[in-house]
Amino acid sequence: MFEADKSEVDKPEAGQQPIPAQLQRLRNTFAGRLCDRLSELEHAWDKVRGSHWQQEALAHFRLLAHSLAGAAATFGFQSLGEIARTLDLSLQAVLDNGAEHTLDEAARQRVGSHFSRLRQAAQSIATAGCADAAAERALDTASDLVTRFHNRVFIVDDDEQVAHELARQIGFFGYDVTVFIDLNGFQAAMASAHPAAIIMDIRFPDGPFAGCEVMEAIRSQRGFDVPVIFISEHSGLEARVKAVRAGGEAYFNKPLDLPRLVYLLDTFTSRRRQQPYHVLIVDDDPLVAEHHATILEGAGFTTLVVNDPTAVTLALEDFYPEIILMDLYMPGISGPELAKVIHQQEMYVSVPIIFLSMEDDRDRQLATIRVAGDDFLTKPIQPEHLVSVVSSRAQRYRTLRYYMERDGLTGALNHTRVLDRLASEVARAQRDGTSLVFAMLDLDHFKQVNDSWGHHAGDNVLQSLARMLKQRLRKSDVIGRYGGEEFALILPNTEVEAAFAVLDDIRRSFAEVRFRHDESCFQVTFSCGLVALDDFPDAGRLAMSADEALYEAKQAGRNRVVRIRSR
Amino acid sequence: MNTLQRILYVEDDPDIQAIAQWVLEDMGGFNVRICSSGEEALTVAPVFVPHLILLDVMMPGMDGLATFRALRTLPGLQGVPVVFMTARVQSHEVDDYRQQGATGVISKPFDPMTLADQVRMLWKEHCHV
Repeated sequence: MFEADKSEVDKPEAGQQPIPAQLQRLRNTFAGRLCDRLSELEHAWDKVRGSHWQQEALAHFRLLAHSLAGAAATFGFQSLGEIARTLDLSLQAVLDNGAEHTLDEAARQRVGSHFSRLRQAAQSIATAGCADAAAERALDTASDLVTRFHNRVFIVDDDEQVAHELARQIGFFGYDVTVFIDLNGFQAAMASAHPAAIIMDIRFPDGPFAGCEVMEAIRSQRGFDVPVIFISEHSGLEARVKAVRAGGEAYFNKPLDLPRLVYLLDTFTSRRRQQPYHVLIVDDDPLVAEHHATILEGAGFTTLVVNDPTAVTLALEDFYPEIILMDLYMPGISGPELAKVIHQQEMYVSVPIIFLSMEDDRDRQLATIRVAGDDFLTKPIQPEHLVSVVSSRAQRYRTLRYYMERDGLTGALNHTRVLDRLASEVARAQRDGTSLVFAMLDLDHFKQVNDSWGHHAGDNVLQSLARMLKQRLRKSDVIGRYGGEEFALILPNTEVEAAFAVLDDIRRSFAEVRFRHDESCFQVTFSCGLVALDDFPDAGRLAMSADEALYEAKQAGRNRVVRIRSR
Repeated sequence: MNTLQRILYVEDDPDIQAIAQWVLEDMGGFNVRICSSGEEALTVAPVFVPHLILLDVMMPGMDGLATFRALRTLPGLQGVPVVFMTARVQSHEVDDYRQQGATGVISKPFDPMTLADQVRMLWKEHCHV
């Protein structure tokens, strides 16, 4: 157990040999960025405490503590490293402890006290380090290696009111925003911080194009690649040209078109990993099937092996294959027959099916494909060949399916697909004995938005809501556009109280978003009805009751979330 | 083939990346390529053709072991020595990693002043086996 003792706060220890200047500089960079690490940790800890999905939050918090433990000691901050390590170990203990993965009161206090010790130690190093880094502000080799924080955005605008209002609005979409109202403060921060994007005003008291000039200077100094969005009151050609020369990615006139700005930020920061392709392997020979599965898993695919061809329908229910590899000859049913069975199901009408066989007569192969299936691979297959055929087919299918299943405006699933997903998620939840929540969500007085501001404005509202839902919900949640201004959400593995809290929070945030149209500005709210699978144990009743709950929310005055239970 | 030149380092922490790149390049004289994730390593490794791979064990997404297994399936990378970097250094775990085919384990936090030497020693060991 550590005692809280300020004297313990460490300075880099010199050791016997002199520290090379370069190492010192890297240390300073590390110290300077401790502020960022600490705020990431704070954020993660908040999530752990306030989260309804505690396990994910805990794992994330732990990962941050773990990497700080490794880094701190490497840079010579031994006792900070040890404190972080203690935190890491205490979190690991919680995570390893049974299936619950939740913090009980004792564990919360233990972790909390480790974290406050860590905070103290990190802050005192950071304060010294930031000053150093700002003073140095020189080229440092670390800067170009640094990966950006996904959701960190800097706003630089000398109009304080505009800047803070913009920060608030962007904050609703899940961005972590820092505002600078003068260029000096911004430049000092850039010496050690690495935002995902910068929103920069053009005119400052320092000069009519000072914003562009500062960015140009930073860029030439450190070959710098943070995307910059320039904003300005003027739309003059000179300002635009300067913005382009300063490496601006976009130019917005004030008042800002917020949905478009957020869309752009999303594209800059969406370096989120693509989900791996799902490959279903059907082969009655377990060894062959495993062999192919191993090759594909190794190349980053997610695979499911089915040895009994009659079990394929079951696998289709919740694996959602994006490509199927199938043995040509299996007991009881032939590959082409099974392929037809699969393609007869509406959800899998066009999923690519590739046959594997020893058959190497191309004519006979083609004859088979003519009946059913998409391609033919001859065993034994070169691993690279298998990977390349599977990935190109799966990729094409995913793209195709995206257009078939998604609503073009919002990217949400379309009505039919939501219902399909609801049926299969319900089946899965019932099989696994897990909870599930279904919600329906409808914009209030949306017709008025279209009537008074036009359809373009209405589309903006729909897109913004979809984007906010995507930002705030988990990857495993399903977002669908149910009708004109109606959305449906499937939240698997979720308790209804947690869902209520999250949706109500989104409701409040969305109500505060200001949409601009020409010179004026409006806000839109939504109503939401919410039901749990526990109360309505099948997909049909779930959908119907969610609709009733939504109706109740509207009746009760809109802009609210209503849950109904079985009566 | 006995000289160690190209090192692929897979590590998600930008600070560690920076210091490792510097010590391995400037103090060790190696040619270092950094990857921030296992996924990235899988695309870079076949092109970079490293002589040795340093792999952080705990990374978000694909972790060190998964990356290791995946790398082993790629053509041309089956025989490349892989060294794990990990905070857990109990001896049975080191044995575990070795059993799985790792050449060695470097414990984290590492000492930047000796990292290049540690790597060179593991390389020598590998060549003599």
